[in-house]
Amino acid sequence: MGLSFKERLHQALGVQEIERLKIYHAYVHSVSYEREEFDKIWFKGENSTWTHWFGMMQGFEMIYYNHTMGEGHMGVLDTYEKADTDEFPSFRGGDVRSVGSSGLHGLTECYIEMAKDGKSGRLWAMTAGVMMDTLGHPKVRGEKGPYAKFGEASWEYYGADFVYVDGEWKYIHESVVPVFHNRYDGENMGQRQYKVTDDNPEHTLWRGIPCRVGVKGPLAQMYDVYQPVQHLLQECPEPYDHLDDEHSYSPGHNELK
Amino acid sequence: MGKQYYTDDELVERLWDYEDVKQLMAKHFYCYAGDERRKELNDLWVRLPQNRRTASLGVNTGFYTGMEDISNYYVVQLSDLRYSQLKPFCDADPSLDYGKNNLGRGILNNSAVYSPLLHIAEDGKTARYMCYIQGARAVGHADGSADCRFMFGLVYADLMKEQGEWKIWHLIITNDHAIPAGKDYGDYPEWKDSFGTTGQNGPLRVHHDPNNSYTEEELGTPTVQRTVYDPFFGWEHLYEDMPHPYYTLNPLHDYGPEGDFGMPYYERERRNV
Repeated sequence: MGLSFKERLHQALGVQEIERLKIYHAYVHSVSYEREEFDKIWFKGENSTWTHWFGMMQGFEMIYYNHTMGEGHMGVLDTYEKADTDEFPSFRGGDVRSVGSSGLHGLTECYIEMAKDGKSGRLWAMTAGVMMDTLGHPKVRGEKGPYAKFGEASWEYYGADFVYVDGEWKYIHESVVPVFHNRYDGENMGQRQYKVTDDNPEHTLWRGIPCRVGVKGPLAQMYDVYQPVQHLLQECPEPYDHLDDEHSYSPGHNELK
Repeated sequence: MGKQYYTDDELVERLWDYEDVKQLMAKHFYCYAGDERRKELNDLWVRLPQNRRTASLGVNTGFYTGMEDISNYYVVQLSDLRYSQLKPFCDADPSLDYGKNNLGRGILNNSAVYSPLLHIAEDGKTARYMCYIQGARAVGHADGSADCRFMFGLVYADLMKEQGEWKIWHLIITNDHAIPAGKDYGDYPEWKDSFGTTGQNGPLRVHHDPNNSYTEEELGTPTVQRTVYDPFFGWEHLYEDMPHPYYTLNPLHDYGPEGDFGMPYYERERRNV
């Protein structure tokens, strides 16, 4: 049965809002404003999941802990180390989460499918984004000498589910498939990836820190010179009625609880 | 569904506003890429006299304000630059006409837009927009060589609905990285380019220069000179500067010269008081 005018309007507005949430996420993530993301736009339940190739974080508490205490904390420590040297005296007093960062997992046009019941939406997107640091870091990124400029390309695919709760659209599932991570136009990214995987096939760290995960990875395949192209992708959403295990980037986590 | 704040008609209008604003900004980047800046100022920017007086264009080092100053910088100075870039081609090939039909020879200015984030004001009169540029720029030389770089930066805009049509009112084009093609960015400190741009090289760690990727000459002399964006500190103020949901545009926080864009936190706090 066709949708009413009001239902179609709700869906059209939902598409725009879901696109906006995904883009908002990209910007606040770029400056490590994790609280501003997870406090504001996430569904805070046990079925929220955040998946990367190294594993799946299950439940909002685990996601929140990893991002604000793990990733965010690491970024702050990085900056404090920089500020603690005489190299960057003018840094002191700056926002330690964001200062020096200037790169985005820039999103191409998003593919968005809305559920017929109007209570969820699914998004698929890709990025040929970048990760820049005007400051570099003597330990983490010091191969080119202390404080060499740092510019990387970050190629990823995304699948995300959103739910409509209490009149607002919220993120419930994020699934990231990273494929390349390489210096911007400075190296052969395929060869580099081959070497990284070859050196450490059990690599499960994220930004150099161990994560709390409910399901340990690898859950996605990074680029490999032998892989079939389809293995890099999650399924693109098909038209669907409602969020369930057949239509979700996180099967088994689709009840709103 | 939650409690409805707008009527259905208003919701439909807001739905189209969102698409129209994206479309308008896409057109801006088309004009920008093709040096069709006069056309852009005529067709895409505000038209009412009171809005043309307060229109502004921000660059890393300040704001050009009012359409006359904007035009002088955005159109006339670019035209002068293009003539100076054409001259060596004409010197090398006397049959080549040193005229406007050959302007832009060897130039590519591709500002590919990613992730447009925008909010329409609740009063429906203005919109705020931000996007990220992952672009490329090439400047060809008469000897067949070219200076090619990947260009990065954030672009911000306040847009206004004038007589039912969306128009650009305040535009800020920031620039933070110009990565030379085929070079590792980590090698940048040792690298100097043919423009004489020193950019983020070693000494700038102490006496850094906001003219990071564009030369001072290219950025010109803005009407209001202040640091709008300092690439050295990156996106420290991104969260404060990015568009958020809002009821009506507040001149203290807009993307014009009177707004607090790019200001340090203590300056913003003081303005709020």
